[in-house]
Amino acid sequence: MSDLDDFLPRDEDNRPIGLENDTASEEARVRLGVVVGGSLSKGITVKLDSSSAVGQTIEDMAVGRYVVAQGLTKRKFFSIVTDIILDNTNPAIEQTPPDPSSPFLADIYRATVAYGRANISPMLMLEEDAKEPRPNKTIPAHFSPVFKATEEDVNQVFGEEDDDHFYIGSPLDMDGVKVNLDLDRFVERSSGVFGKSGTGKSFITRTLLAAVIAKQKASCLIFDMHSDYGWEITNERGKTWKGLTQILASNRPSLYTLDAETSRARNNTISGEFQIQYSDIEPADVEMLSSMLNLSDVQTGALYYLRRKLGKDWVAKLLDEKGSDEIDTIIDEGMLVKGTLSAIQRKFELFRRMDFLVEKSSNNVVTEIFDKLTNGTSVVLEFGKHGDNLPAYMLVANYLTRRVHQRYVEAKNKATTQKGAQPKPLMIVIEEAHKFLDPEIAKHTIFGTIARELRKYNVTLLVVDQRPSGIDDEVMSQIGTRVTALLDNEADIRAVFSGVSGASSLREVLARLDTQQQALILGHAVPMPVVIKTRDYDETLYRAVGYLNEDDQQTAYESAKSDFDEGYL
Amino acid sequence: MSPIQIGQLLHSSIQSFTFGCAIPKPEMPHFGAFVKVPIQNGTAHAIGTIYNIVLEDDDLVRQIVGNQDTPIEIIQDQRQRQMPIEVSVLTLGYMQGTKVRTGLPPQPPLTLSHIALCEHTEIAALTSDFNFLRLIFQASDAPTDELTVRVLEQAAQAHPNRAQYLRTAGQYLAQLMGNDFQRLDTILRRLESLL
Repeated sequence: MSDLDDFLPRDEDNRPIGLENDTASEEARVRLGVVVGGSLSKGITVKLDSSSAVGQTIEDMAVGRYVVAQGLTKRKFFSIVTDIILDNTNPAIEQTPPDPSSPFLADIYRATVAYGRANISPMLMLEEDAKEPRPNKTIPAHFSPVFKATEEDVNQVFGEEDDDHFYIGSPLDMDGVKVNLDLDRFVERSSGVFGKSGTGKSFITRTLLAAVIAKQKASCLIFDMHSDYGWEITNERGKTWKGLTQILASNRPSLYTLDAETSRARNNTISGEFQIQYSDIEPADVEMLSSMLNLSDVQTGALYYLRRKLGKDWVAKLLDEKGSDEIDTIIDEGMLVKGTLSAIQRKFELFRRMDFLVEKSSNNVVTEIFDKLTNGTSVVLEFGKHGDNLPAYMLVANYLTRRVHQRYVEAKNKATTQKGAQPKPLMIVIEEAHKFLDPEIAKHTIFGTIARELRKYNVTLLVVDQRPSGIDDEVMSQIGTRVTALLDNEADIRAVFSGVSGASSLREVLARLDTQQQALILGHAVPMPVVIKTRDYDETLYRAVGYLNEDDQQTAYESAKSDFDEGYL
Repeated sequence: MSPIQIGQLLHSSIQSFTFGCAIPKPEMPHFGAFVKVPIQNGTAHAIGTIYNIVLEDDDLVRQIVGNQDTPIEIIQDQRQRQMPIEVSVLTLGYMQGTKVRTGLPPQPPLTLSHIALCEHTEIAALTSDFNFLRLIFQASDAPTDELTVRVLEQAAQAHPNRAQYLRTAGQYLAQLMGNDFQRLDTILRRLESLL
């Protein structure tokens, strides 16, 4: 024992007391390399360490992986890997590479002349004593070491799971580490879920919706085109996943359907049948379908004239095969060319195949749905057999959204002027969003309006789409949070990153995602872009949003009964 | 065991020295061998490696060579003459007590100092890092590539894991000579043949 031991006491294992944490945390970190160059705008270059296992450091790297550069001033730079490069100090080695049968030469060159580089994009930085990371304004100095991110690093950025933060997946190769989405920020602005067909958009969307509804962050109006969200779905191998109305026990959404027959055949518990009276249809409801119905500008303009002349039963009158005096008068007066009128009538024949359009409906389903939404109950509208009928989907979505939005505007204005209660935030979920938000019509449709006005009237969109390049640029720039599964079309990738600073470095990341259960999340609801393996949509998730299976229900019943018997209730 | 003495110093500088010795035996002195010589009144030793061995001629040899069929007796007589062989040594480090340092010594050795072969432990100490290779590459009149291979062969024998030593040496060389890939490749292939 030396005199120094009085000043630096040691533990039983002869380790200096007080240094355990530092040593442990250093050991837990896996060093990948050192910073050798780069810039704030174009990203940082890291020279990868040569590992003892041949090629391991390079081949273990993956674009989208989450790494931390430890600055020399103890700042941590949270970064994402955007590219991996094989480099060398002398190009001659490319002309005369070592013989693979000579491990001696290859080992030496691999550690020296030939080496790996990674480009990383710093997104956030954490000052030494700060608790919250801040947006990056500087870069790590030369030769700062770069480590694989640890669970602690991820938690520092994405926070703990709580009522406002929902676990939606794990960073790549970090199973069990939670990336939590800020739900308040997610519903605060319009959001999007993008990805090519078959990449799991519906599962991601269902997870997001389950979280928003379970945590009561917003009421959701879901236009469920392919019956993906409301009730359980079954894949081709017979595996089933429960729908939102089944797993959300305490905030169960109401399920409406356009096709009661199919819903009943699936044993869905429906709250009501959605029907539209011909007399309730306005020209603006049809206008969005103009490209699909192939209505010319003249014909589209004529719709408003016909509505004014024929009254609220204008659609029924146009579809009446017997004709009417009023229509004859319009022709006779020369206000409309007969050809135009005939073309409109011919194109309106499409409505006859939409059996949810009726002469007379017994209930006022729009009011019913609005009341539910403002009371905090979400609504899923299933399309059943109309799911493959895009005009039907667009007509209904447009029809209902226009009316619900109008009432929200009125409620919000009333709340503002009379200092009353604000309407519950509403998130409207539409699929095939590029059909609604096409650049040619986005400026004139209710969906374009909602996306542009942000949360002015407490109404936002959640757009689900596989062709984001078809969505109006101005609308895309207003999408706050973008959850993107694999996209391989260059135009779609460009569209997803429109309005995102420093996005160029993330393009490679997006194009390299797995086809299943991987997504890049960026924008308003996450502190920095992150690639995640999305969490499984399974029993664990069901329980996280309040689902009680039979055992849980029995336990809850017995607990309540016991309390009752003991006089607590 | 006392060190094996192989010659006496003829002339020296800080960077190199030359010693003379009798007709060499097959095993010594040889190209790339590590030798040492006392410096600073014997308080330290300069250590170096043999990079050249010169056998000078004289008039008698010239005359004998002119005779096409030299009898074997004359050749053997010639080999018994007191004609010194000049051996050039590149200084790589120096030793004070048991401490061995890479680099040039503070003073050159004095003439007629005795030259001895280095022990394995001394070679291991000098070559435990590879900075000595820089001095070899800086030598202007030594066959550096060939000397490097031979020196590393000697050094590897003094280290417990010969193959690992040569691999690490190769990595150091790759950093040192990365710009001259052809030379590097040739040296590394020679090292590989030593495995």
